[in-house]
Amino acid sequence: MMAEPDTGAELSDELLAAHARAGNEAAFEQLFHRHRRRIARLAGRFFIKPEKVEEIVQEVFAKMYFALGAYSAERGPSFSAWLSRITINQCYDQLRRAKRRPESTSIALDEGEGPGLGAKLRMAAAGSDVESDLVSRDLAAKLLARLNPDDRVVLTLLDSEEMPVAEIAELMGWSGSKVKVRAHRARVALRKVLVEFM
Amino acid sequence: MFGREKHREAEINPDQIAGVERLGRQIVRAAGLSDDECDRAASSPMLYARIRAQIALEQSGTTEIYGSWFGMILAAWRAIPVMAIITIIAAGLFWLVSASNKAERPRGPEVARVQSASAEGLGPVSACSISSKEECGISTEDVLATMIDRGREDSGR
Repeated sequence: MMAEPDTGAELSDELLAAHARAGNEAAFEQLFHRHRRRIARLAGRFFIKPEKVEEIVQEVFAKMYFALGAYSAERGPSFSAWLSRITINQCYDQLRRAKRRPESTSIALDEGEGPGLGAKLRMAAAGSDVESDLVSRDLAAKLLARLNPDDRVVLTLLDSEEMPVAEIAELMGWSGSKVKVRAHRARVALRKVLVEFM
Repeated sequence: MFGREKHREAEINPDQIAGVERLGRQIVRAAGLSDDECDRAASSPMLYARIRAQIALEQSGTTEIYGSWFGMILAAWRAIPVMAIITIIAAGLFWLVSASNKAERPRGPEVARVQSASAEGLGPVSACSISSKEECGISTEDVLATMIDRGREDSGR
């Protein structure tokens, strides 16, 4: 039987995972508190509704609990990378479902949104008032909703998370060249979407 | 379809393509929550409780499944090797019994003679009479001798 984790000392993720796998709830809770913000920020790259991000965080940690038996620190990636992979997979599944049932905001652009697209996004980047920031975010979400989930995941990890290609490859279980090919295709697809409305 | 897309792409010169790509990157960065909003979502007071509740629900759901039809399948799966062993044993016993029955069946006149010789009140002729083998057959001389003996018995009366 494993010894109780010392809550005062800073245990590694892998050790906490081992304790959690043995049924130690305190260890699982420590892992939750340690990683919840990072997971929420990763999920927040894909969705604009806070309740959606909460739902994904909940799903990720529930899945993590049941997948602890399959995780091996010696064989596989770090715990952090492993948890990120679960998060990306969960976001990908949600994007696929959303593709079939769009979110409450319609993906169709409003009349005035097309012509002023570039100007609106430049305003959002300059950190203007909240209202125009939300409009830009909503507009951007509508445009990205037109992409395939695969394209969106790659572009988000590259441009929004600013992950290097090698890290994306490790996260997705792909080769580096596959990441580059997918990224190129995704950019072409996004360009087509933008040209359609410009 | 492809022709129309290529035509639209051709309308944009290379400088514009770079601008469109830059715009695309801005759009990707803009389509998401800010870090503060994400932190607030992760700090929701009931979030951990909901996670534990979901885990408990999935665990109880799995137990229920195991208790019903899946349990039956599991029991059947365990019973298959036992049933196979019983079948093999039964087949083996059947084969043994069949083999021993064949051994007990009368094989020929030699066996019949030995058995009949040991039986009381029976001579070898009785056993041989039901056999079709030539060595058990009655010769012509035996028939004549029998007829002559019977004739003498009848005349003696």
